[in-house]
This record gives sequence, C-alpha cells and structure tokens, in this order.
Amino acid sequence: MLTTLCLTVGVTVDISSSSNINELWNQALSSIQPELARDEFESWIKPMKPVSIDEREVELSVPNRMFASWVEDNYLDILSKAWVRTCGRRATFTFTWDKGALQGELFKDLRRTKGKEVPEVSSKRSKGLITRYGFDTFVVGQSNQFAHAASMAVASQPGTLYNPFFLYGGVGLGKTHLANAIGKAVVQNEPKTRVLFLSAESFTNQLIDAIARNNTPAFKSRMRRVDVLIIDDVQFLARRERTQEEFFHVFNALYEAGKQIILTSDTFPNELQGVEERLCNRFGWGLVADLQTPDLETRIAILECKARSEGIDLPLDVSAYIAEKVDSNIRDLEGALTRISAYASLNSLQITKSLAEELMSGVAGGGPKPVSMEDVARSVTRHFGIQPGELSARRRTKKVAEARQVAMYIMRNHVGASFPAIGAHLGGRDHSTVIHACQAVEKRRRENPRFRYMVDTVTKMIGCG
Amino acid sequence: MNISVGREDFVKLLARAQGVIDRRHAMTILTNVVLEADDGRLTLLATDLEVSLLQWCPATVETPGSVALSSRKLFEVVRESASDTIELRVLDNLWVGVSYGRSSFKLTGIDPADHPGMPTSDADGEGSVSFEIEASALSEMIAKTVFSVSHDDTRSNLAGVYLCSAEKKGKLRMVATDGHRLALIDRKIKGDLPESGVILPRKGLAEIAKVLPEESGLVTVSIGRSEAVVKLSDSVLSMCLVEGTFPDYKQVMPKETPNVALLDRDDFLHTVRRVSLLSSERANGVRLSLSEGRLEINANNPDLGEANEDLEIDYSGAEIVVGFNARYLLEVLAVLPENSRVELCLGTELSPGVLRGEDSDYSYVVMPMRI
Repeated sequence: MLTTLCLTVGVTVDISSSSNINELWNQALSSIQPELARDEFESWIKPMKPVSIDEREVELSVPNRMFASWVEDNYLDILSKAWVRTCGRRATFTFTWDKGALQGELFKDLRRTKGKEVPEVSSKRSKGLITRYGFDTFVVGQSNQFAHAASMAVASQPGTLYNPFFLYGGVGLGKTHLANAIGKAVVQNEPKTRVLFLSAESFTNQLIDAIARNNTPAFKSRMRRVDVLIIDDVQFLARRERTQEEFFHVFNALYEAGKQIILTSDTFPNELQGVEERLCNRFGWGLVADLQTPDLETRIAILECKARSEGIDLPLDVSAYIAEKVDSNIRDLEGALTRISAYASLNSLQITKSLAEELMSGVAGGGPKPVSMEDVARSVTRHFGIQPGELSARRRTKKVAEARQVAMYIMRNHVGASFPAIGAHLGGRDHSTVIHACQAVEKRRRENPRFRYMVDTVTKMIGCG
Repeated sequence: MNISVGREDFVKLLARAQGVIDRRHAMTILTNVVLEADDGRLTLLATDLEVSLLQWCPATVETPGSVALSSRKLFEVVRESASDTIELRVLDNLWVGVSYGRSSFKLTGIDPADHPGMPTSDADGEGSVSFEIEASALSEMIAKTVFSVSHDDTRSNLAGVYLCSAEKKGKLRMVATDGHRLALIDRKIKGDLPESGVILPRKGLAEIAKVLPEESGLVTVSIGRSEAVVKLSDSVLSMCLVEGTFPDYKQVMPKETPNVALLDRDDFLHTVRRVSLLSSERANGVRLSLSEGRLEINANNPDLGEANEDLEIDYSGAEIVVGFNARYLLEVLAVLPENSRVELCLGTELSPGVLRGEDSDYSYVVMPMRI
C-alpha cells in the first residue's frame, strides 16, 4: 500500500545524512506554513509525519489512502518546493498509510484467516453486486445528475466524503443501479475492499437465520468486518424492531470505524414510516441525494444506451415515440423496448414507429390514455357505491368524504389537474381542501397496503366501462 | 425473609457482585442481586447472563425467604455500616428493611421470580471435563495472560484467554493475544482437559482473579460445550465460552532468536517507564539499541522532546536496533517477579521478540514496531 511519486525539481546538494528526521521535517513545515491557509495546513500538512528520510526519498505516514491521494493531487508541488528550500535536493515522496505499518502484526495469517472468510462473503456479494450495473451503463440526465455525481465521489473516496450516503427516488429510477455502481467501482479501485451489498430484506433474513441458529455474534462480526456496506430498500426495515436495533448497532460500529455506508430507499429519510427516529436521523447525517423521473431527452438517451448494449437497431423516431409514451420510470421504459425488440426479432420484422405504435397501443400502461375528471368521478362513485352527485355535494359522511378525497388524489395525480380546478369540479371547494386531501391519501397509501390497493384498483378502473 | 448477617462477609460478597453486574444491561432486572436465606446460610446471585456468580456466607436465619434488590444501593448502604451485624427483613409489598446500629433503611425490593436466576449450565453435563488446580497457580496464570487479551470488537475470537492442554502431560496452558503480542503460560493440574481448546471471556477471568487470592488449596474447573464453571470454597462462578477459533499461536512462536540479552527486570522496567514518558501518545514507541554489554533506550516525540537512558546488560549478540510499544513491555514486566532476571530474545528489527523470566513455562512474544 505504497505510492511512489518522483519529483525532479531543484538541484541536488549534499546534506549531512545524520540530520535528525524530525528536525528536517519541521524545517520543511515551517517553510510551508506561510504558503497555506491555517486550516488547510492543519488538516492536510500537519497530520503527516516523517517515517524515514534519506538521500532521495522522504517517507511520510498519513492517516489513510484518501489522504495520500488528496495530498498527491493538491499539495505535492508545495511539498516538493519546500523540500528543495529546506535541503536543496530533489526527493521522492512516498506515503504510507497502513495503520499496521508502525506496529507489526504477530499473525500474518490472522489477516489471512479473516481473508478466508471474507472472500466468501465478498465473492457471494460480487454475485450480489450486479455486474452490468456500473457507472458506464448509467445514463446521466438532469433528473439524476446530482445523485450520479455524488455517487462517483463516494466511489472514489469511500468512507470519507459522504457517510452515510442516502439515495432515494421512486421505483425504477436507478437507485439500485447507482448503489451497485458504487460498490463495483470501489472494488475495481481497491480490490481488497470488502463490499457487502444486501437488500434490507436479506439483512433481516440473515439476522433471523442467525438468531435461529443461536449465532448472532457471527452475524454481528460479519457485518462489522465490511468496508463498504450497501443496504438496498431500507424502507423494508419498517416495523422490524429487532432488525432495526441490530442495524442501528452495525451502523454505529461502521460509522465510527469510518467505513462507507450506502442506503437506498423510496422516500426521504425523515419520512420513512415505521423506522425508529434515531435511525432516520442517522440516515440523514451524510449526504441525501434524490433521483427524479427522467425528462424526455434522458429517456431517449436511456433507450438508446440500452439498445446499444443489447445490440438492437433502434431508429430515432421509435425511441422518441417510446420515451414519449412511457414517462413513469426507467424499468417500464426498458420493458417496453424489450417487448418491441422481442416481438420484432421473433417475427423477423424491422423495428419501425408503426410497429411500436401497434404494440404499445395494446399494452396496458403503455402510454396512459387521456382521462378526464369525469372519468375519475365515475370510477370513484362506482367503486364506493355512492350517487354521482354526492361527490360535489356538501355531505360529509365518512364514506362520501373518503370517496371525495380519493377522487381528488386521482384527479391530481393521474389527470394532472390543478388544485383549484379539482376544487371547482367537486362542488366549488377551496384548493387548500384539495391539497390536504391529496396529502392525506398519499400518507394513508404509504401506511396501509390495503388502502393503496384500493386506490390503485379504482385508478385502474378509470375509463373501463 | 428475616435474617442477620455479619457485616464483613456481606460487604465482601456484595463487592464481588458489583464486578459481575452490568449496570447498563438492557435487562434492568439484572442490575439486582438475588438474596436467598435458608438453613443458616445467605446466598447471593449476580449475573449478566454471560458471567454469573453465586456466593454464600453464614447468617442467622429467623425466617427463610428470598428477594431481589438493587445491587449497587444495597452495597452502598451495607458498606457504610459501623456495626458488626446487619439485619435484613422483607416487609409488605416487597419493601426490604436494612438496619444496623441506630440506622434503618427501607429499600424497594423486587420479586425474585422476575429475575432469570442462575443460567442453566452444561458444564457438569455430558461431554464436559473437569480438573483441579492450585488457587494460587490459577490466579497467576490469569494475571500473566489476561492483559494481552484483545479489546478489538471485530476480533471476537481474541476477546478471551485460550485454554488448552500443554505439550507436557498434566499441564494446562493459557494463551492470550491481541495480534501484536502474545502471552503463554503452562501450569500443573490434576484431571482432564478438553480435547480442543476453549476461549474463556476476559470478564469471567477478571472476576475469578478477584476471588482467588482469598482461596487456598485446590479449586475445581469444569468445562462444558458452551460454559465453564469454577468452584471455590464460598462461591461458584460460571461463564459462557467465547465462540470462534483461536488463531494458531504455535506458528508465531519464533524458532530462532539469535540475539539474547539478559537484563535485570527492575532496571529494565523502570528505564522503559521513564523513557516512555516522551514517546508519542498514540504509538507509544521506544527504541531499543543493543550493543555488546549495553542497552540504550530512547524515545522522541516531535511535540514534546526526547528521552535517553542506557543500561549495562549481559549481551554479546549482534548490534541491533528495534522499536517496541512501551506498554507491551511494561505490562509483561509488571507481572514478572521483582529482583529477577529477564531474557530478551530478538531476531531482526522486524521479527517478533520473546521475553522470558526465570520461569521457562511462561513466554511472551511481542511484535516490534517501526519507529
């Protein structure tokens, strides 16, 4: 774990080799100090300690690899000039950051014993890490630019920059892809890094398994041994108290040890329902990045990227057509493309816009048909078994009020009507009433799966008969 | 329950119980001790479910019974007593009256049925083995190894002392290491040892070590599949074994250490202690420079300064400079007897060194550091 950099500046002048290492180093430091801002000096120059200094080589011990690469990139010039000023000779700077380098390890194979177990985990994990989900296959658009940039940064300096790194966004927007890409990149940069990629579900299952086998210490130590822990879909920890408890401790142990933690979820950390506050709170400590629904251009780019990687000949007008029709998420987008290309190849047809139109029209969800507020009202009244007029009436019985709220929610989210328009349509209600209704339904949808199912069913029924 | 018990006995029992009880245990009931009086005897149970200590002392029992009480509060109350006997009485609603001299206390008691009690032990069951050892020998073995036990959470297999049979028959071996140094000691026992070694937790051993100095004669140690039990004259201590595989310690014992120095233990200890005052706080390194008949120890700390001292020693090996963590030297020197000679065997500046006293059954291996 050494990096060596050669510098060829300055003139070689002999200097007494008996000079005390620290004295020399301190001299160099005092010549650097005026050149840098105080905090810069304190945080990047001062922590370095000379390990050995000889004719041409200066070995410095630094806290970690990230530190070394940062110093290499930013302060090498200053260091080298200062060294020339101090000793009047050129030097090769070497950085050591292995903590164990100072104190020798008794058991060379203790590492190996660890290694024996860990590759098992990591090789299992590298299967868990989906290899095709790398940064190279991730299409960046305005909607995910920030998340992508942050992920790249995390991958380059795990454990130092943004910890924990929390990615959130709706289904099929690329959370898992990005989290995977980080893991993949980290392993590529530093093959010895132990990356563990787990869904919240399998974290729970492994814990249950450990409890059943009465072997929780092994589980605990396995979790604590990783360098990068990626937990996908943390919202599934909801209401699993024991798992949360265990995860809390794992989180703390890793966080304190400066290991990178990456989490993905479908909601913002503070809005995770059924997850203890102390956990939600911790999730927000580092960086929270969101993934938005991609815009049209990004969707087209995604389709073309996918088509290229699968070797599909996709004309531009077809990709534009699909991207326009499917605007919900990337999974659906890729699904549509797969469907069209499969149909075309099975029937030996060329992919054309008319073929796409033909296929997409027959598919539910392939391009939502325009629905009106009347359609929604019809579907809702039919489902709740109330009179059509009741939605816009003043009555506020429980059933009617619920139906009205659901109607408002669907009108807002599926018709895309404005709040005042919805209010006006449903008996001249204030727009704030509508806003409240939408929020209330959204909240219940999240908390209550049956309610969500009901709303989805009503939504699906719109325009059917 | 209505009893009177001697202050000295009671304080001793309660003091030992404090060490076992984990005041921050998630199960708050475990911060209590369970008192049980019967047959002219008071029994006291303290446990954190990993280590359990059951002790007893004579008492005048008027009414037998049992109760659980805050271990800490009871200890504080009893310790302050000036009188020789302490009266304990369980009142209505589990109030417990403690009185001595002209003082009387009323403490809230807890139903002992709520306490999980002594964990069931498999140390006497099938597949268990037991042996007898001199109390003083066991005490010495623990003292000479336990300081090397790892404090690293991630290496749970090093979080205890490894107990196995030595090469010589009829000898018990204890080994402890934290990955940087290793202590190994053999002592005679009577009885059987488990076929494969087991790891005893640091806490259990530390608690045993507190009780042992008051013991004389033989103590019995039983080892089961998941527990070890030590039987003493007035107590029984049981502990859960540490899970995991202990590393192969034999392969790190250096086979060749050509450079052997003989030193006076006291001089060496005090010199290292003085010089290390100026070693850097984190690494705590001191540099040992050996040359014929001479050992020079120095340390320097860029922020503070430096220290140098030299010793006349018995040495005729090669000139060698080697760095060590001063703490690793001081801790082992502290457990070696005063006024004795120690042998420091070194290979190269980066290979493990061995430290031995006059007792050939105790060795200490320590890895140098680069300074």
